[in-house]
Amino acid sequence: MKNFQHVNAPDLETAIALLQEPGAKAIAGGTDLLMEMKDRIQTPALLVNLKAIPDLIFIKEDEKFVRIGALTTLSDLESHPLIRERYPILAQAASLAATPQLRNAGTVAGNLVQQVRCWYYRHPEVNCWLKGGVECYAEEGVNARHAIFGSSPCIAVHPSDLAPALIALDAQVRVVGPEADGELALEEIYRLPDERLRERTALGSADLITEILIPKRPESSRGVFLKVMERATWSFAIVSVAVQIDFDGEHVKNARMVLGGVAGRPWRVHETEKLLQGKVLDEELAERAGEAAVAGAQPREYNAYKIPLTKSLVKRALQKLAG
Amino acid sequence: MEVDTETGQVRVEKIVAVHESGRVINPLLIKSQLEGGIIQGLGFALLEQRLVDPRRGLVVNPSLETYKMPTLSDVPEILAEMIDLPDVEINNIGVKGVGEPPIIPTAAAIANAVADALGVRIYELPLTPDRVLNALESQ
Repeated sequence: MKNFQHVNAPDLETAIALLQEPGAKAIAGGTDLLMEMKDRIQTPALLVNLKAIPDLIFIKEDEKFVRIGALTTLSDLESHPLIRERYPILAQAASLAATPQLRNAGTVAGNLVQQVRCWYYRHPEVNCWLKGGVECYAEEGVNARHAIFGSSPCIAVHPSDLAPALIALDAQVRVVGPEADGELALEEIYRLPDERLRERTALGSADLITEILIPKRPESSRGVFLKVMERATWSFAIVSVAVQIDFDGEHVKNARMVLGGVAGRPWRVHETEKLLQGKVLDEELAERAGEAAVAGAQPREYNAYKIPLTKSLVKRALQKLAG
Repeated sequence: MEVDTETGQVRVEKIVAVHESGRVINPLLIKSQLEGGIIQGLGFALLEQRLVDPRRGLVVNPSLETYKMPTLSDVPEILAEMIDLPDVEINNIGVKGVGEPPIIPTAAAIANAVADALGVRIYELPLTPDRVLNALESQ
């Protein structure tokens, strides 16, 4: 690891000011950044520790939202009664991420802005396009865990489990900083990296998420998060699906469905949502929704299996909500 | 074991293993050796693989995060027994090694069980979800 300075930020204003210095990087749980630093993928000169900032750990509700502080850990999230009762989709997503030890350290906001797990990006000896190199090694390489949707010179998939669940819940994030400020739909902070900006979020390096706001759902709303892993635990999603449906009796009133592990950003499937609208969830509709979810998928040499896998997972998620 | 034919995930429920390894001197030690070897065999069957980029000869998973080994949650019920049969030919105390032997048949037994369950045989280890799904697609 390269030498660096470490400063505890006493408040948000100081943190944002420090983060505008050259080579500065924010750290909270550190479960992602420290690994990158050990492999010299990131070599910040200054680490600005956000965990010293007070009042960013909470789960509370007001009239319109359940609000989650940015520094709340995944463990807090998965075990909180308010989350378990109102948003089981989010408790499920949190509990399927990483391991208990990592969930005790990792923060909600950190999870949302984590870097990709592409094995070329993570390889200390590979200078891939995302790291500033000239080509994506995965495009013609071992791309078994890579994207089937979206067009970008980087084909790594977004690794977060929380992001699909939160986007399915129509969550917003409050951001403060020089480039982005105010409340944004979580979905809107994500982008696919391009030649202009090799970044996966629209947030600048000194912009900080301070809280996540989840709108209250009607009583009739049900959601589920499913994730396929290589082993029983401690594995990023090969494919995941988050779906939240507000029902009107038997009929689907409003559906939001987001896939993980299939694209460079959490992948919302609008056509599938439209297909579900106004209908009664049954076996046949679940099947058709699975087909619709993979329409337009573009598999690469080693990842075509993700198409039947995604189809099955979408179908299964809807069957769970119907049952 | 169970194969989820929609997701390609293989879940081993129970492994029974009986080993003949000469005279049993320390039963607890042998049993632990068997269990450990069986778990390694489980990893061999389902998870562990060195992924090499064929164009560049680059190992793409050189870390314990990307090179997957079984976790406790992956380990099934294991029933390991030994036949206490001193081998008088082999040495003066009649013992044989038991370090690696439990790894050897475990992966093959799991692969056979998967072939039996699916009706299609996969000729490459480990039996990852992509290989299982590809085998089912080609059926």
